[in-house]
Amino acid sequence: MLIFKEIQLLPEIFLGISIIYLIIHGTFISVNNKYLLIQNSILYLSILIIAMFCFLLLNNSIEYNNFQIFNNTIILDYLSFSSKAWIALISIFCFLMVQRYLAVQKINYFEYSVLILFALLGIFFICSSNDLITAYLSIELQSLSFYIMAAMKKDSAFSADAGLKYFILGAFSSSLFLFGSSILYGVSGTTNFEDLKNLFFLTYLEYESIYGVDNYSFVKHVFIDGGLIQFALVFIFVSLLFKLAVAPFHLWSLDIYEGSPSSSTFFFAVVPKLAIFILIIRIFYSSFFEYSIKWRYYIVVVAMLTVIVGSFGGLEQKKLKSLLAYSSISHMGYTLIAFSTGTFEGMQSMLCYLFLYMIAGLCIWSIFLLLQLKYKYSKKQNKDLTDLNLLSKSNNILALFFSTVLLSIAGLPPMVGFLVKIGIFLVSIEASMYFVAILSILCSVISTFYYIRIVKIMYFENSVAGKLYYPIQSNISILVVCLFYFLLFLFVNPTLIYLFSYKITLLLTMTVV
Amino acid sequence: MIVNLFFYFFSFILIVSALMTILSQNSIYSVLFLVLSFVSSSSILFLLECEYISLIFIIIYVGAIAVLFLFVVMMLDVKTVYLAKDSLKYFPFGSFIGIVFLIEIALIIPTTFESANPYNVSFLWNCYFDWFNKLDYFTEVMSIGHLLYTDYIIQFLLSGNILLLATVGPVTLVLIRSTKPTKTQVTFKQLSRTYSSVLHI
Amino acid sequence: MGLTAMLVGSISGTGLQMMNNALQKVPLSRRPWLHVGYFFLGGYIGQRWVKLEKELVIDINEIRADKGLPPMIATNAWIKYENPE
Repeated sequence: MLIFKEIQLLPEIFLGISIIYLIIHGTFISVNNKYLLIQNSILYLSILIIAMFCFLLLNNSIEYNNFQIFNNTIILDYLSFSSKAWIALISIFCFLMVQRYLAVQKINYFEYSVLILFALLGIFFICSSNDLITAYLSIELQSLSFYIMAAMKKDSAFSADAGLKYFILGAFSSSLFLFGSSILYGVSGTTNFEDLKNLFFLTYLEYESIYGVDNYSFVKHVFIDGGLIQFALVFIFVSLLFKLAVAPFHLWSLDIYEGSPSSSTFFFAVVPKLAIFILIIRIFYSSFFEYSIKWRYYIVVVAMLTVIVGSFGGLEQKKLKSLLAYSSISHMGYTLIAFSTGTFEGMQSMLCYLFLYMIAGLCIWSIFLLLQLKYKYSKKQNKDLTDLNLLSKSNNILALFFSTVLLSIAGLPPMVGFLVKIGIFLVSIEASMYFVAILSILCSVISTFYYIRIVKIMYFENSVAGKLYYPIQSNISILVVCLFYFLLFLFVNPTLIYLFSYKITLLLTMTVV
Repeated sequence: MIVNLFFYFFSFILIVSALMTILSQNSIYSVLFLVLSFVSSSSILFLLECEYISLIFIIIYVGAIAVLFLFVVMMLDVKTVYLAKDSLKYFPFGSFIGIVFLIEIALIIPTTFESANPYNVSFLWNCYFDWFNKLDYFTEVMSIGHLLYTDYIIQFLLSGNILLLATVGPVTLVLIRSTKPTKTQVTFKQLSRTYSSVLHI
Repeated sequence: MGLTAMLVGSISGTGLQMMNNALQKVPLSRRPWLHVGYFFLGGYIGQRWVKLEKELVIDINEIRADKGLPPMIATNAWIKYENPE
């Protein structure tokens, strides 16, 4: 097994080859017989492909081994393994949820699911990239398919607008990433994360303790230009924050979430955040941990700004989608707070928060897609908050689910959102970031307002006529019920998710904590 | 010797085409002359044994930027007008800027290029005797290929995937699969038909 | 322990199908074969859940032993864990 260890990348290679087969298959079928709608069959085929991907991944047995293959550009460790498995699972759910929406909105292009598969390929490569070049290429693959997915609703001007905006800003952030990595390459002469880790292992902390603070400048001049490295790190960090839609760089996300078709928004909001965070962990936590004294500060500032913007910005929103966009922004802020502590527990609670964020996001967006209004113009895709008027009368259980998920996101006790959120506050207090903790708790209270307002609209609005909805398919509704159940059940028994994240963090950190 | 002749040939073409880019009245011709100047400059780089840079020059400047120019020029549909009057009007300012750049280049060249290149005996002399090349000769393109197909194969495949996506995506966005219009009643149209509007003589 | 997990899983599996029916606004006992199916599926998943937790604890303790740490707190109370040494 060790002789030909490149075969460990078999799942991704399988995914890539099957994408090409899908394109050929779909093209030949749709060219030969005109008007043949193969959207659904291709979608099920892509679900099958992702399931096969999961199967191959789980059979890989690379639990602890820290394989670095393909000239050390691909890393296969437990972090990449578990995140890939989790993302694949979530994306299967996404595919199932999206299917009916696509049929209603008449997005009858088989390329849509192929594009999602392309994005997933990019995301999986981000998870296991160990090299700045690989990271850049995989981010490009992921975001290029996202641009096209945003512009996929051809008869809508908003969708084309969103695609163009996403393209321009994404290209901008990619260029920032390239600029930062070129500076990094110029300073260090390598793009490999492992080499960077070895290179900068002792530069900062250790020399300070060996030579004393006064002689530190000597070390700095002899070995590495620290200022230039920080310059490069800021650029890389900013470009990754663009991808995450974090506060000073969040302005694209609202328009794009609002404009692009809801199925694409579902995908943008839920799936890629974990992968980008894994890249951030690999660059900042693994490779440049010695610079953590420096990068901590700007991550804290960005995180606080994000939490404040996410909490206050959502108050004014009338549309459900942009409200959810603001909620996603504030969640990224909480996750960054946990990351900025740089401690073992911080990593653990951050991973927990991301996993639960993905479950809750999946649940909330799938309920959003389930609420197909029976309008005369049924193509209306952006829901106002008032569209949820008296949902409790028309479908009580769905209203219950929706309010439960919203309260779980807000972090109220009988749901699992409470546990992960309090984990983040405890971690930040433990790292003696008291001010940050207090401010984020206050912002969390403020952001609860707009979640509760939706609950109020659903239950207590004084209006005569509610809205009518299409009936719900059984295969989709069981998924929603399962997700809702897990949100409640994980509060009672959160052991598995804590153990899982603990194991990941334990294998991630080299040193004994 | 023949290399030097080629150098003279290509640099002559370069200068002429660069001049014609400015002087030609038709903007499409001037873009095509720009392409010619790029090609000739990249062949000069070939003569200097910088294969990689010359190929990249052709790919990026000719393949991407000049084609983009050409698209814009064709889309804008600029009419060819007689520009001699304008050129006379802009001559003082243009020549001023040209003189400024010339002075800058004249200031830069003697300070930077004289001592930097140790093989620089005369201005055109570049076929010094390099034993390394004689013994173990790899062209740049060859060595890049060696690296690309062994060490960085996964990156190569990834960029191939990106190119595939970049062809599939725009086709998907632009392609309108022609569907027959459905034969539904348009109620408004039917109701708004009146006797006077239908009957035409 | 396995029995409890199985019981919880089975009951919640049946409950999920009931909630599913309620979500689609049909009577709770509609499609009874799915109730039975989810009953058994839930039991299996409950068992796997507990097994996964145990495996994770054992893995974590092995990793901690590699790094020279004692086993996790309250490992023994939770499952019967023997230290390899």
